[in-house]
Amino acid sequence: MRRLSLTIGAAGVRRAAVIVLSAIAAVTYGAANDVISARQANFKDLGAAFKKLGDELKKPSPAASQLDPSVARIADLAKQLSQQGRFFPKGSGPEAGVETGARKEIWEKPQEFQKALQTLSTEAGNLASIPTADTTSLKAQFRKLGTACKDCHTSFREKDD
Amino acid sequence: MSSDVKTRLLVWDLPTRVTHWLLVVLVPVSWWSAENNELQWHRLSGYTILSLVLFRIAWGFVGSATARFANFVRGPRDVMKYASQHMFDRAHVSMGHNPLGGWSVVAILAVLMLQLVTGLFAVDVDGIESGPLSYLVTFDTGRALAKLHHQTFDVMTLLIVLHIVAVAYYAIFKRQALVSAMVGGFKHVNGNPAAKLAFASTLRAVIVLVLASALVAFVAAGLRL
Repeated sequence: MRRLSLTIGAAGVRRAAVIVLSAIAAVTYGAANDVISARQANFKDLGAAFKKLGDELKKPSPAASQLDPSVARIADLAKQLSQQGRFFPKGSGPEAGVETGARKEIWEKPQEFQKALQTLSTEAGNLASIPTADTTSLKAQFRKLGTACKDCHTSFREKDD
Repeated sequence: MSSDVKTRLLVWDLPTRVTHWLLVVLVPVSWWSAENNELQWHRLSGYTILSLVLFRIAWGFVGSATARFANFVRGPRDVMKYASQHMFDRAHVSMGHNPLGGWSVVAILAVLMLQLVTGLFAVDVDGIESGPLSYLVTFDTGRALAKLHHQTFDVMTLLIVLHIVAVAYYAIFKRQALVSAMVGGFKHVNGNPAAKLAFASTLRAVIVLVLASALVAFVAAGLRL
């Protein structure tokens, strides 16, 4: 009797598990899509802000009024990216089934990845702390931040094209 | 028979040959530097190639006879005739570019120009590395041009492969050493041509190259003096 009920119980649990898991899969699939779109939008904005800052810094006399918004935007986007679990939850990697450059290493080496995001945020914060009149320091920090981007991309992002 | 007599004749001038072989070196340098994220080298290589291509285009108007577009860009009738007859005639030797090869030169120069111009405006995915004129376009336009920059490279690779296959064909079936002609400048032509080819002076080539390089330096500085 006892043995029988156990068997039924296990089958029931299995059935329930299947139902629950598929529901989770359906929800997380949609959620993964959303989070991937959100992080791609973030990185795209970051790229655009970076270009804007770089363009202004290349001018013979960069205008502070043009530099300030880009620097603030970069710092803000970088800070958002560094929030643990926000843009890179489990399931939002290559297995999500949508196009993403995120490599599985992000979830295989979570600490290393989080450290890289933290570096991004720190360097972006350092950029924001430089007075925009000091274009020499801005340029140097721009390059430093660029290196932080590239270092992380080398380990955690698919090669472009 | 005069066709049995072979005359060693200077066909390619030094500027054309040097331009050709520098491109052979620099196109792979550009590819390698892009693949390995050496964008500083990529830009330098690109600027040099741009100078060379601008020089070669100008040389096509003011250079030596065999370098001039007017002398080797032919109409469809000539191209068809060449492709259906002369190409398979072992005895037939072209003094400069043959009618089919002439279009290959135009195609390679055109795709090189497209490659160079898209590179000037291209922006990488992170907005860190960019061409010197990318500040004139938006991030999205710069990205689109970077993608085109990738695609035109594939077209260029195809044209280069076609070019090498054609040169191999001439070496194997027509027994014409086009590579050594492009190195030393001489070809063995049939008979004893009375009219010699006209060559432009090397000084003229230097002046054209300096002008082309100055223009490129201006572009590389973002059109700022």
